[in-house]
This record gives sequence, structure tokens and C-alpha cells, in this order.
Amino acid sequence: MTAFSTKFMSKTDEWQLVDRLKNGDEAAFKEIVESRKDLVYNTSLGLLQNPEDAEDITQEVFVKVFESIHQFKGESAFSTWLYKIAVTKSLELIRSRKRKKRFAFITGLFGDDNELKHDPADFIHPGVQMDNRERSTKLFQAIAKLPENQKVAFTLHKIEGISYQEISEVMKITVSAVESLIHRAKANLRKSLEDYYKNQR
Amino acid sequence: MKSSKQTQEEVEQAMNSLDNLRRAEAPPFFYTRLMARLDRSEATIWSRSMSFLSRPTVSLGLLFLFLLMNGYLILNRIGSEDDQSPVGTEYVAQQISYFDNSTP
Repeated sequence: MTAFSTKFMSKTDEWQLVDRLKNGDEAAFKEIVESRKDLVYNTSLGLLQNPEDAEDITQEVFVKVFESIHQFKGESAFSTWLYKIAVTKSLELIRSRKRKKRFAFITGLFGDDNELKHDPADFIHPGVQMDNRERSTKLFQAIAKLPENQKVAFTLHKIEGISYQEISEVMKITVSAVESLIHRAKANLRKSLEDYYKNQR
Repeated sequence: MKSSKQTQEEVEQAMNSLDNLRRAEAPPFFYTRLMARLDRSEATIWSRSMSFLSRPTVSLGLLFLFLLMNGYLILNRIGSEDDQSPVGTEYVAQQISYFDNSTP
């Protein structure tokens, strides 16, 4: 697990920035984007496993922040709010892709010209160490097959390195529910990888 | 086929393959592209609302609503003037009788 430090050092600084943004200060918005863009991009990339989609969602997240900053009441940390938006938007995209894929399959059965899209190419996370690249590709394939909640909990924990407490705030569940989700995710991943490696020559 | 032990080793190595992961960085010039998108989305909201208003059904509907409200207000005003007219006549008659009585 990797815990990434953010460039915000204190809650006061964070609040000051948010207040400045609420008052329409563009420099504050730039500061927020520059200091938090990697957090949002890395989270989206972990869930979507596609750099173009991840950039698109990262942009959407900051557009949402710009438009809805008045809705942020400070009940949770600003980063928690960002994680929530990033996760919601990424899951929306995954669901819409799945719907389109299903629709393409059905229309394909009835002789429409819509071609069934193939699964995306093997994903390599840019932060993976060189000697782990191939193995991590198999792990990401297995992560993509996980149920939504397990995928979110595992990704936030393993890729973003955030604590169970913060994951529970992002997902609005208890810490023990997070533990359970991650435990089940690991069991499912092991099973999936085992099937793959067992049948490999 | 591989032995069970070998498989387990590979599974564990794959499970640990994300250890010491470096956080992925957003592409360069992200902020510039984001601002372009924000400008586009603001322009889109404006052009979308204008194109909605310029639809014949919407514009004719709004015109009809405007005429209907005007008609209602005019009829309402005429009605209220009619209601007030007897009071007005009574008032004038009272005034005349007052002046008639007051003159020596």
C-alpha cells in the first residue's frame, strides 16, 4: 500500500482556499486543481483503467467542483469530497459503457451493423515498478471483474493508499464494512488469478 | 499445468505487484485544457438555452402565453371598471347634492 501525501499541509489552508473559491477567486481554483489533480486522476485511472477516460473524468470532477463549491459544507475533508465525486463519475462511466456494450450485443444479434467492441487492451498503470508490469496487468484485469463496491474499496486502498476510515467516509459505510469489502475483494482476486495461472502453460 | 505451490507463488506475486506504486500524474497542461472545457461548457449552456427558446413551438407557445396574459389583464381591468362605475355615479350624485345643499 502506498500513502500519498498531499500538498495541503493544514486544514486552515484548505478552508481558506475553499472560501476564496466560493468568492469566485480563479487563482484559488487553479491552486486547488494543481494540488489535487493527481489525486483525482490516479483514482479515476485505477477504476477506469484507461488514461483518456481518466483525464476526461478528472476534468469533469473539477468542472463539478467549480460549479458546486457552494454545496461543500466542510462536513468531511475536501479530499474526501473530491474522492466521492471522482468515484461517482468513474462508476457512471463504467455503467454507461456496460449498457452500451449490452445494447451493441443485442443489436448485433438482430443483424444491426453495430460491432461488438472488444475489451480494452491490457492496462499498465504508469506508477507500477518495471519488474511488476506483467503481473499487475493480470491483477488489473481481475480488479475490473470485481463487484462495484469491492472494486472501489480495493482501488482506494491499494492505488490511492487511503485509510479505511477515509474510505468509509467516501463510501458512506462503516469501517468494518470497508474491512469486509477489502477482505472479500482480495479473496475474489486470488481466486481469479489462481484460475488464470493454473491454466497457464 | 502448473503445480499448486507454483500457482500460489504467482498469485501472491501478482497480488503484491501494486506495492510501492507511484501515484499516476495528470497529463501536462491539464489546467489549460480544463479551462477550455469550462469555457466551452459555459458557452454550451448559453447556446443551448438560446436554441431552446428559438424553437418554433417554444417561441409560439411563449407568444400565446403572453397574449393570453394580456387578454386576461385587459378583461380584468374592464370588469373592475364596470364594477366601480355605480359607485362612481353615486359619488358624483352625492357631491352634486352636497354642493346643491351647501349653496345659499
